[in-house]
Amino acid sequence: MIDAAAAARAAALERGAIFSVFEELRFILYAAVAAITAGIGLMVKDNLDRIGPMTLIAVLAVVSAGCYAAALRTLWQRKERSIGGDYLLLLGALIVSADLGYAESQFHWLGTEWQWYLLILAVFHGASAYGFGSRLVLSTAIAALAAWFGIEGRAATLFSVDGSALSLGTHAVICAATLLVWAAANRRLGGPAAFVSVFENFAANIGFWGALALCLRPGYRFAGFGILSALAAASIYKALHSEEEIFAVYGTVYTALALCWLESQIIRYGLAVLLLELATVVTAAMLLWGFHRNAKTAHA
Amino acid sequence: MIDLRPTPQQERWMTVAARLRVMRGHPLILERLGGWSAPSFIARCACFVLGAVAGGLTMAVFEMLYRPAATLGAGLALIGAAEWLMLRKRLYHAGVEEALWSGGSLALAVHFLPSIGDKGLSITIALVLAAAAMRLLNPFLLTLAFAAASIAIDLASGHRLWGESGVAVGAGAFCYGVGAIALLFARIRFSRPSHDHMLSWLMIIMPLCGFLWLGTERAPAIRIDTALASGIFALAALMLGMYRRAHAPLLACIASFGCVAYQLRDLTALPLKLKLIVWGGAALFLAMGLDRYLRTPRGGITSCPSSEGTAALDLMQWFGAGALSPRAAPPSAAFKGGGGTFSGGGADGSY
Repeated sequence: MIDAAAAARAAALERGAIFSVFEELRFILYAAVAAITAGIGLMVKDNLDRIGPMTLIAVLAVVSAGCYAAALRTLWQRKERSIGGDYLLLLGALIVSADLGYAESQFHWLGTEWQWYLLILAVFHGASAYGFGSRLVLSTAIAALAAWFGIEGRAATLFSVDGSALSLGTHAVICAATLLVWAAANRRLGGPAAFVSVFENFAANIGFWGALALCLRPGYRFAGFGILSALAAASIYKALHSEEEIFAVYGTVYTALALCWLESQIIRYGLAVLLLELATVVTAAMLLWGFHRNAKTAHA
Repeated sequence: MIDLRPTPQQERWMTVAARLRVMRGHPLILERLGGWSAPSFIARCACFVLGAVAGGLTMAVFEMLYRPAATLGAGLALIGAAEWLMLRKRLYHAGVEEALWSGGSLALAVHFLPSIGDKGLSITIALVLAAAAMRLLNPFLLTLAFAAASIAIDLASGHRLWGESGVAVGAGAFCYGVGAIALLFARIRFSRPSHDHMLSWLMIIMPLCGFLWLGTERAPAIRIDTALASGIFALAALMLGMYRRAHAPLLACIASFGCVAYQLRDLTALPLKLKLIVWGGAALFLAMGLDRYLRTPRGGITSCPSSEGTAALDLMQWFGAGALSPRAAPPSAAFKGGGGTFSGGGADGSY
């Protein structure tokens, strides 16, 4: 069933002969980076008058350069970067984001087209992610790209009546398509295979949120549902062929959510809506379970 | 004969199959599972949400059909459906049956005990959740039951949850006590992995609950006591975690050290931003130092990843890194000289 090395490793883990604290370290590192970036954000906000913009920009640039230098050294020494090194690189990338955003807000290099700094950031982080082979930095690049598309990541926007849900929906769908193109290019041009999963997970979530936002706008319900159905089919296809259960979860849960909303909007009779929604949710759960059964049989 | 749940041996095989994905679905494994089946952690969470929504909708249907006995009808229907899924379909820790069972039992409790006041309600919720946890062997429900019990203790000592003066010492001490007992009991070797998980959840969450009861108090004595309680718990958890080679005590230690750090917030006169940077920096360098030191295993302890599946944690890490990145300003916000709206590097403010 499993090879001797895997069996020996599993047995050693079970007996406690090997004990990995990798996940604990990852948790502490994430909390530390989050605390530092929050602190830097507050410092940038509060200390404008006292420090002055140039000093602040220079200090942040030096600190981020230090973080990148550590990653560069590991790269030149042809060593594998540790989890600590990966988070230090993430910190550097986040400081660059804060620094560039602050510099743009002070000097208005891009004028009224200030949003383009987000695309510049996405390109910079994307290039660093490829240079250093870091999935964490790739996540920041994707987040900057999504921000450039105007995706805020706030659920409240979905229910706004001022038209921002519509723009969010279309932008999110375009952003998801861009990510899928990026993933395809990455695959075709021999980019890191580990990046594909990051692209696909972000693309799935951003795309589904966009389709959901369209479903919630009265004039765009059916277009939104069409996009959502296509995404769901693609997700479930992906789940069936790659055995990544998360895509089955995306495909069923987002579709059930959209269907429940549409049913409540289109059908006016209370009991009928409730029964239909109940049937939708139960079907979604059964589909998810069916996928699990299928995956198990495929393994066998 | 109908099995109410998998035998301890079957449950252990399910854990092994989940850990080593390559073995999932192998005839040899399937034979040992006795027909019981559980999805991955992510699918379990999704199914729990779907089950909870289905429970709410069932309740609403019964409410429209026959209001006087809606909770009774919905409760019986939900528990019936959950039992059918477990006994006939052999679902175990699948999420959906857990949501249906706990929702159904809460509905029945509401039906039979309609007006019992806040204290009675929290005791009832605690008992119902504990019963659901025992039937389903679910650590999340058991932790919720103990949290509800701490609310009942607080109400019994004359307080009214939020916004009232008075210190919830009893509730806080109860939570710390439960955490400590869970830490102590974790040395026992249980035959069921779910019992280990129950103790793990209790030792991580309950000290945090205890801290939440007392952490907002400004009185110096309370602050010192909670910092001491969290500190002692963290040290004990650290030692036991390293001795037993277990993850849950280490996570409990990290969470409790976070509580200590919060209580020590006024130790220096530094502004919040500097505290965040200094403490964050200290944690970063400490973790990096440990990572470096343990890259070569020391006494079997290593910082290298184990071969156990961590797909859910990887996913959380990517989305977490994305969440720290700059976000777009609202489309309607006009560009302002000297700043405009900007949030970057985890900040969210206006310059």
